[in-house]
Amino acid sequence: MTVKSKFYTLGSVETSNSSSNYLQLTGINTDFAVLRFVFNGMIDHSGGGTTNVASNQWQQGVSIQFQGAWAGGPNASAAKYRNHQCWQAANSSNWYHSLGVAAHSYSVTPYCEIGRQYYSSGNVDSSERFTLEGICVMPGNNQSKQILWKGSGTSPATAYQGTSYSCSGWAGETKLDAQNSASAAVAMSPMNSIRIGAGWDSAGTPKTLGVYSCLTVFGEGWTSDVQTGNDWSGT
Amino acid sequence: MAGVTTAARMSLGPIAATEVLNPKGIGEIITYGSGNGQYRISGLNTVAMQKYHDMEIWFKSSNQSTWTTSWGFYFESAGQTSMSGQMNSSYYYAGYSSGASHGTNNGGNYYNYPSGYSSYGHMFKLYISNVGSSSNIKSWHGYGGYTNGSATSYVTCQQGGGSLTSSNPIDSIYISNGYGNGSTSYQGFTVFGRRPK
Repeated sequence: MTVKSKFYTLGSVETSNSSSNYLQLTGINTDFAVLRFVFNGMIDHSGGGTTNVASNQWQQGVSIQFQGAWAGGPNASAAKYRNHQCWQAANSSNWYHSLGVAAHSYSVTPYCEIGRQYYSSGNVDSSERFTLEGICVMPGNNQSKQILWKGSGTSPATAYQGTSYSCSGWAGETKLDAQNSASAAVAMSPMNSIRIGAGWDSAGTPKTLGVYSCLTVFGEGWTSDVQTGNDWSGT
Repeated sequence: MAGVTTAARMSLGPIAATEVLNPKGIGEIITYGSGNGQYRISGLNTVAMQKYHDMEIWFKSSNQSTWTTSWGFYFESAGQTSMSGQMNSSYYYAGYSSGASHGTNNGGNYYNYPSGYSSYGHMFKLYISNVGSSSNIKSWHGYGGYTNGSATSYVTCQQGGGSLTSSNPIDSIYISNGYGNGSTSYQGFTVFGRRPK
């Protein structure tokens, strides 16, 4: 095995307003031992009046899709994900977790989801920004990839809400479904694209990200053993 | 979402931001050093750091001949002006036999527990976004762990994060370390620039 030191910032994209539904990176070089994704920003739950998110309610965090498996993407037919998300609410020492996403509990889902935020009211830029990191090991091989996520929660705007309605942390893992017969073989393609979105309201209307929300991908390390080709046709 | 088809749910609106794939170096070491009790990582808003949007810091945090205690930090703008009043954060830790704790600090320092004892390992990794921005809110996320040999009751993991409601660049970070009798060999840090501009 050959190991080389090879660390790059591969790409970064940032919103310039609050009207983007998602941030997307495609054509990511997968010739790395690890891809690290970093999202920082916020979900504009207020939606500028376009969504029906009610004030003073818990809301889901960002939506996640990758490997071109989204509507209109090159692997749209493989858009069947598995999702496991965890959160720690500040009013309890317990960690909570759920399978699937809010709209698809314990099932193959059309997207993944990480995070949980208490939406107070308005566009509370001051306290709703967060940082989220994801790690994908061996992004270029022909096996099913998963991304492990860790991030911080947020504290709602007012002090009294801060104690009971914040999360100290989120964690989760996301993957394209490789076991369900409905999954296409294309699910094994390289981890060369990712889309982080603001999710949807209860009526299915896409929400938007706040201004200066950013998605970055780092490539970290290289080893000759990682690259095993991506020809899945013979297996 | 009852009654909403997957296709409808996937019908997203326009993208205002486009991808930028322009590989650059992952970053560089901006500064590193050691601390002694209470210490400050200063001079962060430097020419070197201004090449990056974000910052990553690896801490080791222990006390000499003192059992575990809490530690924490707050951000400062130029002139070592505290911005702790603009910090909103949450924390959590869990121990092997010492239970778990959680909480929030709104308008105050970021709280972390525990720091380590002597040379037993304790590390904490911190990622801070928009460090040098003069127009944007900052947010951070960190996690770490601690063990100390046979004293299993102090084995813990920890994590947390928050936001800094200030458009002033972060120029220094003040670290308060428990009882403050740490030897410099037990407290250290390395600062990396991340997300090149």
